[in-house]
Amino acid sequence: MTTLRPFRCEDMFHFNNVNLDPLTETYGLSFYLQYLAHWPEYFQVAESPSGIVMGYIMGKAEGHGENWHGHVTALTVAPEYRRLGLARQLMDILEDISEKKRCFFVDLFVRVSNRVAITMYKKLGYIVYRTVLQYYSGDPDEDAYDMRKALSRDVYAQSVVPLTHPVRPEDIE
Amino acid sequence: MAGKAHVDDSVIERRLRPIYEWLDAGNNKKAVQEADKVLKKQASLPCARVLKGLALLRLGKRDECEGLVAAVVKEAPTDEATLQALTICFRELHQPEQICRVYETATKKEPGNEELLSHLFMAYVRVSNYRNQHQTAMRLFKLKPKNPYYFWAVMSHVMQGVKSGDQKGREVSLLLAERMVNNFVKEGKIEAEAEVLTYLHILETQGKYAEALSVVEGELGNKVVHQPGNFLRLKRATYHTHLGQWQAAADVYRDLIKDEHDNWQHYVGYIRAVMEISGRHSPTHSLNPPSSTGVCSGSDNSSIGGFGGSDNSTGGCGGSDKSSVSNGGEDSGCDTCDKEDPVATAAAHLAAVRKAASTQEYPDRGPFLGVIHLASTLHHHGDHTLSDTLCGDLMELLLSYITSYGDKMCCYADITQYLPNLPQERIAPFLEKVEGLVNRREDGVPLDVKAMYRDLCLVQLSRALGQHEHLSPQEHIQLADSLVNRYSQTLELTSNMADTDIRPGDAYLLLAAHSYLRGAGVREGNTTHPNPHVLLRVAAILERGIVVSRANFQLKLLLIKVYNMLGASEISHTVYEKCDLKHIQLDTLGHTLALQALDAANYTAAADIFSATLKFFMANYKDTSDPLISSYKYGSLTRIPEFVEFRERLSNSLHFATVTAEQMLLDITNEISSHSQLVEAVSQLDIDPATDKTCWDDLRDNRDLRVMDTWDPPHRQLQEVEVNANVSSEVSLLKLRNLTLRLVAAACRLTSHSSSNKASIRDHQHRSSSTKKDSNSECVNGETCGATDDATLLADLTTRLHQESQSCAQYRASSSPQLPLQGPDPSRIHLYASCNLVGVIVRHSEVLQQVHKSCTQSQGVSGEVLKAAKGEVEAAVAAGLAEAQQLAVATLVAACSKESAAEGEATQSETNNDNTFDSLSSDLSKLSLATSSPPLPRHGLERLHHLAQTLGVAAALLGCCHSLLRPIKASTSKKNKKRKDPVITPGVMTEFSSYLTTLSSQIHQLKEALSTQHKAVKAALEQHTKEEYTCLDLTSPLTGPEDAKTIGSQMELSYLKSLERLTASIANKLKYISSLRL
Ligand SMILES: CC(C)(COP(=O)(O)OP(=O)(O)OC[C@H]1O[C@@H](n2cnc3c(N)ncnc32)[C@H](O)[C@@H]1OP(=O)(O)O)[C@@H](O)C(=O)NCCC(=O)NCCS
Repeated sequence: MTTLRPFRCEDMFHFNNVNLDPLTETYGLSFYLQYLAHWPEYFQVAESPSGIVMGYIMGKAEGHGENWHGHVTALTVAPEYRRLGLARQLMDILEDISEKKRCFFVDLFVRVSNRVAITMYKKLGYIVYRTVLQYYSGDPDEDAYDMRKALSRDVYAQSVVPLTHPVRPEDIE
Repeated sequence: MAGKAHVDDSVIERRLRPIYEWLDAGNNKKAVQEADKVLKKQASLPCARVLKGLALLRLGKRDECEGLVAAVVKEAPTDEATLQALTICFRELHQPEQICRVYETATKKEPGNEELLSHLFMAYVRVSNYRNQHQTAMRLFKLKPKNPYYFWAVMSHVMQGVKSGDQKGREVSLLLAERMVNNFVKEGKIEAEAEVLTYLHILETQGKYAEALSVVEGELGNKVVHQPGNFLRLKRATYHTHLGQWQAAADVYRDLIKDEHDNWQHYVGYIRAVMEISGRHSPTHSLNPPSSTGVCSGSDNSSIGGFGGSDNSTGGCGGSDKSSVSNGGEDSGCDTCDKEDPVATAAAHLAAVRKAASTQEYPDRGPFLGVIHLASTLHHHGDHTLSDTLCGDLMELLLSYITSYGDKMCCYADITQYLPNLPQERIAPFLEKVEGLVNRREDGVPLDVKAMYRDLCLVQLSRALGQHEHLSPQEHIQLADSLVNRYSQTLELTSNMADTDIRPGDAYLLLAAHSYLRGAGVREGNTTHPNPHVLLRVAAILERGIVVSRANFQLKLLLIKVYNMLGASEISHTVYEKCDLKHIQLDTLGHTLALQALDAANYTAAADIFSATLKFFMANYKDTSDPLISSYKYGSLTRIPEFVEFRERLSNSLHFATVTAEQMLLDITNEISSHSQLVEAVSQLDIDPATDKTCWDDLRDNRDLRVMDTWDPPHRQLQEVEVNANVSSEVSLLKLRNLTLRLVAAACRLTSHSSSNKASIRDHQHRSSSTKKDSNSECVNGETCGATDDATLLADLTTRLHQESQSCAQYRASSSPQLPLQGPDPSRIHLYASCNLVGVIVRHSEVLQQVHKSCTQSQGVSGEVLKAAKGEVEAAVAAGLAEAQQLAVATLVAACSKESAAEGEATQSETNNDNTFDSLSSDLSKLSLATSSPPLPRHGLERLHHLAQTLGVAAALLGCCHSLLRPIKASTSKKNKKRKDPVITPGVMTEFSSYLTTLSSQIHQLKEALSTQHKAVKAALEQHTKEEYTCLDLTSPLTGPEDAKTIGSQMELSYLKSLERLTASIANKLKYISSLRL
């Protein structure tokens, strides 16, 4: 029970009930605005009947040749609206747009400690493609899983054959 | 030849690369060295020179950079690398206009260069020069007839229109834009989706919905392929709505509901359209449902602040509804008389949707809520019976909703807006039935997590429906105790949750905290003295909650508030840092902690927060410029007006303006201990005494006041009037601040002019008589002209400050209201105005004016003026002294001891009645509520802070007096007394000196009093630490002696630090004033 609509700049004035969650990063303005300028259709927000931001997804399409893929940059749902299938709906939109753009797969990075999100992505059909060492800087640095799901264009699911060895951040293209 | 040039290029590129690399790595010194190396081989290489300039700029050598860059610009470069480097340089020099000039020159040299022209276009985008943007885009289009260029031109017209000040200009520009697109449409040249979207945007902005409708329904609609599936239909529905074509709108929405039965906007649109068809016109012109009154739960798309500017929602909905209501006649009229009531049809339709949905494995909430929304809307229109017949009984509807979704955290939020439609007499039976849905153990504790959610929903509903309104303070506390108990009892149910997740039981703690605070008298008119003991316990409980649920920001935000109430800003800051606020949050959540830290004399924390905040705002321009350019590049043209609006909303932020002013005031008062320091500090700041650049009418309140949870009934929630009043009081304070800053700047200017004139007079006296004439006229011109203006300016500012403070009289009388918890902290002006400190500033400025007059026009200083100043400052310092002596800091912990709690129990024993809640009465309910609680140190600290700052300003003004008087004193003592120069009666000198002496001794006393307090707190801290804070009783089902130890010691440490900084600040003033002896 949400209104799903494109994200607008002024949503940033009241997305705190989503962004104050420690697992959701608040970026500088230009980051959000560049996404809005470059991939506006990939930036969608879910709004409650009273105009509260319930969650949003932010993504992009990039890569060359068979690496042309959709990417989830941020996905987050406000605590009181979790476990209602909202993240699933938002991911559906992103996958749908990626299909329309003829992407081969969708990928994302997630902290290895983020149990909830990893469980969720697995449930949505994503696999751990590889581990990226010390992808998140902090104290201490944290590894990321690079998770992937093949889209229909990748008929033989070649994009989701897991790598056996972890990679370093500078090695990801 | 060509071959050679090519080689050259790649050589150059290779040579330059290391410079770029050093720059990227942030090693500017190395970048300069590398550039010098390259320039040794090829001295004239423009790009290397610019890059060197850039590195120098980043090293803080602005002048050298500007020199290098100017020379290159003169050579009119046209190569990509140099131009890009120049662009970066000018951006960092904050001279975006120069980028336009550079590319203008380059394109003149190479008019056929598409690349250069498009850079020129982007340069104009950076400075919002829409007219030139348009021309350049058309030049590009003529050069290369590509659609994007044409649409750059179109969009430039649009922006010119949207930003045009007058209505006429706006209309013309938009019409021009529309025509340009029309021509393209006629010629069949429209290619891309972005072009269609731009077209729609232009039509919407002009309110031409009929035209827009035919676009989406026509050929062009087919070009929209990348948008979400419902895009075109939603557009149609919105346009029909705007046009008052209710039947058509209803049809589209009904279809949309069929396909997307969980998308809420469809229901809102559908029900509204149906109501209109049936002749039940919506009283408000909002597309949102009727709702409860509270600002925070309300259906507000509009910004909360009082500044009117409402957020424009998608598709430019808003304005023109009025006309649509009257147009609506065509649809409604006779529909209602012979056919079935359209509302009945809609009800049947929604019921069917609901029925279909209920067969899902996990039924979506939308279809259920849709029916409730219709019922509620009908009730709102007074159609109670119709609602009951068509949709069923509202209470039953709500109950069945709770039956299905009461075990979700969002249940309360889903239905809260419909609660006001529940008749009073049904509330009790309703809640009884909700209680029946909670699965409990024998002892009443919820059986599992689902039951916990239901139990919470019950408590939340009870509160919202007014069931806690009539409790006595004692009962509030008991209720809170029972909630804390419930939290502890259910904690184990959620022990297997990931620790990044928020515990559902945390809501018990929030509800409890709200009840405690209510019981403690926060918001009960008892604004100045909420019981500190209760505040400390709430703090302890929230701290515990955060340990378990470290992701829960609701607990953190409330905790910051509680510490702020206590004035313990050191701990507020610790919690604040756990929230990790960044970027735009520094604006929207700046009200949680920034100025509070300043006022509690926590200057280190304040400076930290201010500096991050100002950095964010300063970067706003640059941060929004690049995306603006990207929007043109990637064709997301309709984002452009949105970005510009966003940028302006940020740059007009009230918080930005306030922090800017407070930072400057801090800079010129806190650590300044001599006049030369002051003059230096003022010159560092960009204060123009003659003009205030604030656009007062455009200031925006960007605070996010919806983030904190509340379950209060609508009338207890934050109201719009309260927010507006709060905003205007902040604006009033800002006016006082800005005037004060300008006044100090004007004073410095006045004396710097005079003293340099003095210098030239002395110079002139040294010189031989031969050059006398010239130099004389020069210096006389300088003096009279500059000084007269500065003097008038100072006088003018003094009057203005006085008037402004008079208009703040309303604040002086009342203490500032404690707003509901989700609202901002009490506004600061009440306390500031009540200390009457503006008077001190005004009087000292008058003294300065008199001294200046006596120096320039040989007038004596009237003793009255000095006396008045003396009176004013004496009163202020005396008040501060009393404040310092009364600061109940050292005794606070003792006042919250067990004994005083027991005392409270005795006086309260008769209210110990049966509570409806199974209160396992803890010690907390025995708190002394009736006995007068000790005053909170917060107000004392704030007053002392304001006093210290005011003394800083007074010292600055006295310092200016001193720099006027000192040269005269020097010359009168040295030279003979027959000189014709301005003669100042020695009386003035002595009076001034004796004034300084009195002032110094008073400030000295103040400092001593603060030191005494400081010692007392230190002793208390040591004593309490030794005793492990056994005297502080914070026992609750969740907390015990350990908590007393941490909280008690942190609190006392916080006060200790505040006192330390206040003492230091006062000591600086003392040093400053003592240095002004003549
Ligand atoms: C991760 C997150 C986005 C999930 O949002 P959500 O709306 O609650 O997820 P959904 O309801 O759509 O869940 C889809 C499925 O994921 C799984 N899932 C989601 N949350 C879960 C949890 N806490 N525990 C176990 N499984 C979970 C479930 O299988 C669920 O389906 P089900 O409810 O039918 O069993 C949300 O928890 C969040 O915002 N976390 C903080 C930010 C974050 O970590 N983002 C991811 C960064 S890459």
